[in-house]
Amino acid sequence: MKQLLSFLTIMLMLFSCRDDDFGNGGTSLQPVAYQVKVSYDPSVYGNKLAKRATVVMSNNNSGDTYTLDTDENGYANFQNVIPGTYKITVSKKMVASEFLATFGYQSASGEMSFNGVQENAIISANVQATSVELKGARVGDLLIKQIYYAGSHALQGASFRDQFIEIYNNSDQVIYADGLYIGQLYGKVNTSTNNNYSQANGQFDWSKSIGMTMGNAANTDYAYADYILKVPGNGTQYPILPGESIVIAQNGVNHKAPLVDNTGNPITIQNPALTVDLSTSNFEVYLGDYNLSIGQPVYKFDIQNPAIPDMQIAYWGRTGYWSPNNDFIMDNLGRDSFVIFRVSDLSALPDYSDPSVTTVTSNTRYFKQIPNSAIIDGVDLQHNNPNSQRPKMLSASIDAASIACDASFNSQAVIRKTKALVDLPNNGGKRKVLEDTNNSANDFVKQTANPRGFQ
Amino acid sequence: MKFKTLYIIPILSFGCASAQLHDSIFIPRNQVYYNQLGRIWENPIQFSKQKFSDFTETELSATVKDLNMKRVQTAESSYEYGFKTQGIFNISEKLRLLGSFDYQFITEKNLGFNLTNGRTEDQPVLNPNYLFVPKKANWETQNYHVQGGMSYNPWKGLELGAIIDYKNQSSYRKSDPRPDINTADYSGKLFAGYRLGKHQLSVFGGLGRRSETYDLIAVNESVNAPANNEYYVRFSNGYGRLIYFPAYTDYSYRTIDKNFGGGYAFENGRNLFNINFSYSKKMQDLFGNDAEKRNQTNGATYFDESLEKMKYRLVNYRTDANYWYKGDKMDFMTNVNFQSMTGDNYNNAEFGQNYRMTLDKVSTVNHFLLRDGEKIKLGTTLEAIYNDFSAVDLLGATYKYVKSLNINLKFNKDIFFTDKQKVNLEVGAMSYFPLSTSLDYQAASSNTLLYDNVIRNDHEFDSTSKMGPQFGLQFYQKVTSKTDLKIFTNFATLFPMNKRFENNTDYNGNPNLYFNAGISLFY
Repeated sequence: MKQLLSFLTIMLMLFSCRDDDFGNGGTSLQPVAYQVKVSYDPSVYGNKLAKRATVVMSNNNSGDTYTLDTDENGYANFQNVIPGTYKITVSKKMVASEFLATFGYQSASGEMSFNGVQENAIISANVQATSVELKGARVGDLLIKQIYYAGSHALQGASFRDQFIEIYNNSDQVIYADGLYIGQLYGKVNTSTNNNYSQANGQFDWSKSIGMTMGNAANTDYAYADYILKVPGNGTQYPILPGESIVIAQNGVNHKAPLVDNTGNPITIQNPALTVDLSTSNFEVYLGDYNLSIGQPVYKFDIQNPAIPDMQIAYWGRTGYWSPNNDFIMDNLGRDSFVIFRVSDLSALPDYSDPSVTTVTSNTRYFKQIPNSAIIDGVDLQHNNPNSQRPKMLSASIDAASIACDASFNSQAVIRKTKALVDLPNNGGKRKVLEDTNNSANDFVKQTANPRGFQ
Repeated sequence: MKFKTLYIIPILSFGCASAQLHDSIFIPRNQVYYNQLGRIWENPIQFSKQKFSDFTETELSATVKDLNMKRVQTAESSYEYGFKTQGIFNISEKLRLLGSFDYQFITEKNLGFNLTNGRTEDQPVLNPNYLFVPKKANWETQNYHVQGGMSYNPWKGLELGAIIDYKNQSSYRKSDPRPDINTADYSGKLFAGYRLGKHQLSVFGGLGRRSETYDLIAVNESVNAPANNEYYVRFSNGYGRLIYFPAYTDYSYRTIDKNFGGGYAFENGRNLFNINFSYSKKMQDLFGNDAEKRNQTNGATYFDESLEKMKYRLVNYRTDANYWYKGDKMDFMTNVNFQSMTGDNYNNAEFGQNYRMTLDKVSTVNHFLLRDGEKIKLGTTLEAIYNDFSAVDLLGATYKYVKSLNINLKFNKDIFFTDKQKVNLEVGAMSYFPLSTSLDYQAASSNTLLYDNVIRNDHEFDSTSKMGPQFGLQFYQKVTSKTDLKIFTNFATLFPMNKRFENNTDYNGNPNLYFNAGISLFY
């Protein structure tokens, strides 16, 4: 009997010891060491490593974040990093003296910012090092100062009707807003790469769009917009003074007060403190005339305020393939990115369908290709729920990171930090200089929306 | 600790007729035989020569639990309403059929940190890959369970058997976020054995497939963000590690169960001994949805390799031995069970595992029954369970182990007895003693939510000794010569034996209360 029982036990053990259930990769995951080598863009700055640059590694799967400065040799040596897929963001601020000592010539400005980013960097027992190149950040004169996309409580506030964007003059010169374009960008809403039209970072591989011939430059040198607005004016009609801003409202009305929508129904506001007064906006976005021109009805919440100039509808999809929004609506969850740019002839820029499209149909949408060189400023927003992250739309030279409100419909906006106060010439006043390192995670905070307010 | 143990209370309760030694056994007439009925389901051909007469039993019951002292991922209270019918049908001397149908409607109150249909009332941890929110809410669950079985003797000593099993469960949470969980579980098992005289050898093997689909909706989805700690949907990957799970709105599990084993049985007039060795491997795959493939925010979940996210493998070695002595004035039954389980997870995206659970369990249940005709003079049950449990999360990073001992002791006696009526009273106590415990946590992640709120609390629970009395009362009434009625009620409480749990957690110090009542008709 004893022998029989032993035999049965041994046979069970033999049959059950196969351990190929997890494939060849069935190894234990444990924290590992990881090294990031940081250098400056060799095509501009030569082959130099970046000392004391701040490296931030954020785990795509968990949000775990590690921060470390590079050493004197340009290396950040992390210990005990949980394996996974990471977004690595590197930023470096350099004053003029350090710039001169590093590169041997004078910088164009008193302070220079550098940014680098690597998305979907894999860290594992087998991959324990990477390198990131820093690109010099373009110093903007006009900035996107505030984006109020989250909206306010759907029942007690104004829902999405009170959204706005604020553009700020961060320079010491008067700048005319006339002809300035605002682009609402388009991209993928998830970071998956299990298809044949995504880049390694999860964003569309635009080089595979129908008719695209420029190769990978389509991804690295351009952004793609589904909606573009244009500030009206003859060139000198809408000045923005230094330290001043313009507010572009979805609806230029006082959302704290009761309204009537375009169908005649009253809109009541139960808690005015949750929303904003946009009746003094500089511009509003009214799609009514445009919708009528393409045979579509006017959206009931696209309320026209005749006292406020309308933005021009510069691009709403290719003619005959109109993009679907019948109002200027920002995604309350944060799946938009925005750029401001200038070009002499927008119609000369090509538009493409996204690369998931293999056959053009009547429902195909097109997206205007905007060269990075024309972009004055840009901000990548991010979904407020980390479970629903999306890939970046902008290159690191425009925005090395992204920023998000805490939730949708929570009355929050992302607003640029105030960096310094400087004297205004002539009147003895002060002008606020806003943070502009082209890294929205560093440059912005989230707070209750406040048109023309500051952080 | 299981409330199911209360059902064991009447095991020895009703007249065990020694005259039946060589006659057919009518299982409902004597609760002691329900033990054997359970074992027939485990290997029906080992019992094919034991004579059980046809019976059908139908039961309605209600169970209330007030769990003040509990692990976190268990409801604070629950109400369960059940209907059950089961029976044995001897078609011929060579063919026996078994059947059962169960239905339960369960409402649970205030369950937090758990968006699954698993609970930690009877297990130290949930399976590693699951969603949760801290916010407590009420749940409703319906269970259906149908079983069928047979044993057949086609030729000489050759015996064949089969079991088929189907479970269906639907659960949903009644406030945001609201998972709607639908579960279907099919399994089957085949047995073959050969009997030579008093000895029998058998082999068996089975397959099972369980599918669970989760559809998570919210009336107000906008609160699902990290800023709203109570409502933000998180995904546990291991034991302490939290990760993002983009497919949280629609996802599904598929579990394939493969098992096999062998058994031996010996029987003569007064003795029955049987032992079974088995091995089972359950492979659970977690599938996301196709939103990512279609660049949408919502998608459909289905079992396709391209949607596979994670795995969890549970291997179980089990040995189960029973001995039953059938005397003229006494019965003795003993069971010894050993199980060794290992659970491993695997993350497809990271090509590795970070979690392992092990459980080694040795248990013994012993029943001793003194009878005077059909009257129970004294019945005793002594149950002892030794558990050696550990859970490791390499990335969490958590290492926990608990070695514990459960001892349950019960006595019962017929306090009133006539030919047509009988009342049986049972008194007992259940207890839990931690023998050796340890919890080591090194925060490897910036998120310690699960440790702070679940792991630490549960370890305090597991490290606290507990004890409580239990009482049972059964009233039997003969309705006709072939029909009996049983009305039963059970009550139990469980107290902590020290202040550890109360001092280190939010526990209010009140005992757990269990109440169960029902009515059975058997014929």
